[in-house]
Amino acid sequence: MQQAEEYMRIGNTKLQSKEYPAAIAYFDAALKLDSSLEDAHWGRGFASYQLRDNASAEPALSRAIQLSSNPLRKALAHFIRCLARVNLNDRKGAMQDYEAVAALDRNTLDRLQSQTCVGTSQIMVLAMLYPSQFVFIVERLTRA
Amino acid sequence: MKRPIHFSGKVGPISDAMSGYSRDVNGMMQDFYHYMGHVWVQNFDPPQSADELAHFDIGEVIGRYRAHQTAGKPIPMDKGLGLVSSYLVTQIVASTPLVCLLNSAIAQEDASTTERMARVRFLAPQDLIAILLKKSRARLNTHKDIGDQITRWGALCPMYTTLIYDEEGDMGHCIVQVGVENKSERLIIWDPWPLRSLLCRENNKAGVAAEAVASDEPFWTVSPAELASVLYAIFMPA
Repeated sequence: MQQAEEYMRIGNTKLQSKEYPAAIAYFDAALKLDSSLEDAHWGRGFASYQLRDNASAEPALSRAIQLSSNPLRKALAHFIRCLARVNLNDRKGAMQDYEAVAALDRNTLDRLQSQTCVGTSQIMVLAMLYPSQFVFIVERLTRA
Repeated sequence: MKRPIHFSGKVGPISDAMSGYSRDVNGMMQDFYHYMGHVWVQNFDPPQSADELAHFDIGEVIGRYRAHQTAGKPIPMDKGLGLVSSYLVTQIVASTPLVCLLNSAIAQEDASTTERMARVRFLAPQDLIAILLKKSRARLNTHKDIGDQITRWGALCPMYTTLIYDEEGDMGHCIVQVGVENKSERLIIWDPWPLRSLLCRENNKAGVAAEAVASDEPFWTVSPAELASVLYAIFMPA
């Protein structure tokens, strides 16, 4: 157990210094010794999300949500899992996380709203309504 | 004009998959879009007739955009475009003449501030909604794939750029009016805002409570009265 906690401590240090692959390695080592460590699942999920490995982030965060009894921490895990699911094109799953965040913590919901802003909505609308013209402009813009 | 409303403003972090375009393409288009609306249309005469729009070379704007960038000149990115710029830019991208139908009950513009728009009409909100209902001759089933139905009905189910505003602050939003639901006559909209629509109950002050359509795409329904209360303008083919 002490060894698992030591791995956790190092994993968190790596997480803070944004050494995400190393953080994941330490969280994995901790989870091998004790798979009920909520923080290790959370850390693994967060680090994977930062590395854009959304497919790995999703199950790790799901486990962290299952294990957590703290509403704020649960909200944070739903928050990151929502972003990961958005990137995985899992709109329905992302919506479930959104609703969970809304029920758990309003401040986290506000952060989620701002984080998931897709940018200028008019661009999205132009791309939807005039796809060929939009692609033409993108091609012209990206031409050297 | 009472006060300028900016539509779909400040740019936030971008979700790659939700937009369908990569982060780089999104960022580039946001940059270019703001240049067009805040800089180019303010300094040049944008094309407005059918002939001008059909023959307009977007390369000219891109060239000036690159020169603007090379000169290190700023592009305002902190606000979306106002109504007039939104109309002019949409028309250039559409390459076809559009008419702007403005809701006279909430529009901040008047004849003097819309004079750069070649085609604009001020209408009462109920008349705007009546036009939408009349133009959408097909009725859609929200229990079936909306995208398939739009493709099947084609011109009978026209979609329009729709600007909305809920009387709060100076920021509006942009959605697409997609069609009309077959049984309820509720209006179907496509909202690019990720997750819950800005027309969901918790996201607006106007009391609009959009209902989700079971779909992977962000389709929602609102009642005609609800849309009338936040509908600012529609850009329709002229």
